[in-house]
Amino acid sequence: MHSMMEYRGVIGKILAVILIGALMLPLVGCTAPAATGREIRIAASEFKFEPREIRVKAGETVSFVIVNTGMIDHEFESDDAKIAEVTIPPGRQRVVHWKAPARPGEYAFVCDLPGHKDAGMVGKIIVK
Amino acid sequence: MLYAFVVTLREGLEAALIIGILLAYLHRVGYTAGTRSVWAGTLAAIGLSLLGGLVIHLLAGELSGELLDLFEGGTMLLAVAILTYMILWMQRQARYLKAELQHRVDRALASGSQVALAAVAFTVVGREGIETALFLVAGSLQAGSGLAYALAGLAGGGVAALLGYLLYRGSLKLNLRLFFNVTGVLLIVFAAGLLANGVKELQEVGVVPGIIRHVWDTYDLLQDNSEIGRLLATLFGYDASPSLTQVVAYFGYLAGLLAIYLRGMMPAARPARSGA
Repeated sequence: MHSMMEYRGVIGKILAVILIGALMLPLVGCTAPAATGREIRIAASEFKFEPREIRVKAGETVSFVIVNTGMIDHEFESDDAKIAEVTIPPGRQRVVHWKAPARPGEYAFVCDLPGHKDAGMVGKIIVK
Repeated sequence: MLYAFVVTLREGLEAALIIGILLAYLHRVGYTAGTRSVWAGTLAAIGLSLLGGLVIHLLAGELSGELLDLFEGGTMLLAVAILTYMILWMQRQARYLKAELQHRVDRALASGSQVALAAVAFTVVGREGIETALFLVAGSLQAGSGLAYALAGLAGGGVAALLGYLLYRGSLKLNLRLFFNVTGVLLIVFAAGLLANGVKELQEVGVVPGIIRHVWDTYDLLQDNSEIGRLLATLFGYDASPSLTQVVAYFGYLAGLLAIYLRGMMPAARPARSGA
């Protein structure tokens, strides 16, 4: 009976360590300060991005600062460049850190809110 | 991450306990030949669950724009509905589960069919498996790292299998009521986050009104597109600038479900002990 109690204690500790480990795992990547690189400001409004074309060097790390200068919500995202969707409320700004791929090419970014892309909210990142 | 771990740990242990009940009962009635059928049904159920998860995942990959938002929002709300039902059902029915499973095995044995026995394992394990697949896919729509998320899910399933084996062998005594109560509360908290995320997706396509588009903006305090922000988004539905609908849905669900669940945990609310 005594050994059973000890056994339960050990299992409990193992479970606790695994639970804490699972929680801490994603924080590993956060301990190193994110490289920010060159700041590139993009204005989003109805219904355009300004500038529409952005040039970066292959492998360069940049920070996109997207400012919503319009009256309604806008988004910034790129499936091509693997930039996850970020929503920018009117009058606010959002920052996206991004490392350009080593391979030159063109990567489209859009506002994916209904109708915005079709109305002209598209742009491209040109990697050289 | 933690979400994937808790989901597979809890669902995995439920499945392991069910398999344990089936195997123990076959031993008790002296029909050990049926063990293989139980394992065959279990493996088929796991295969079907993996296939189901893969199909939902691939389907999401095929969609884009408004359709993707609709699909993601719908999947999240469906997962919340099933998760809620499952948590409350498990709390109320857990004590009758063993007797019900044994009754089903009796019927399968009476029919003399190995397939019927395998079907019992297939349906009960498959239910847990499909639930797991749906919850994992719904959670992954917000997860930052796909690999870490998948590893956390695998780790939860692995620990569940180990605990299930030790419980079956009788070499481990776990306070299962405490385990299911704690994971139940955790899942309710995660489900509230999933609900807020689902509402946000449907809001973007105009299916759900935001009422007040942004109640506040805490982006300068904690960016919701940073690593930690994304983790909090997956676990708790963190959004730097949520709408009123998101806030009401989150806190309304959390308060309502926790009240129902915690009341169910109180001894006074429980009927007299059953023999099961």
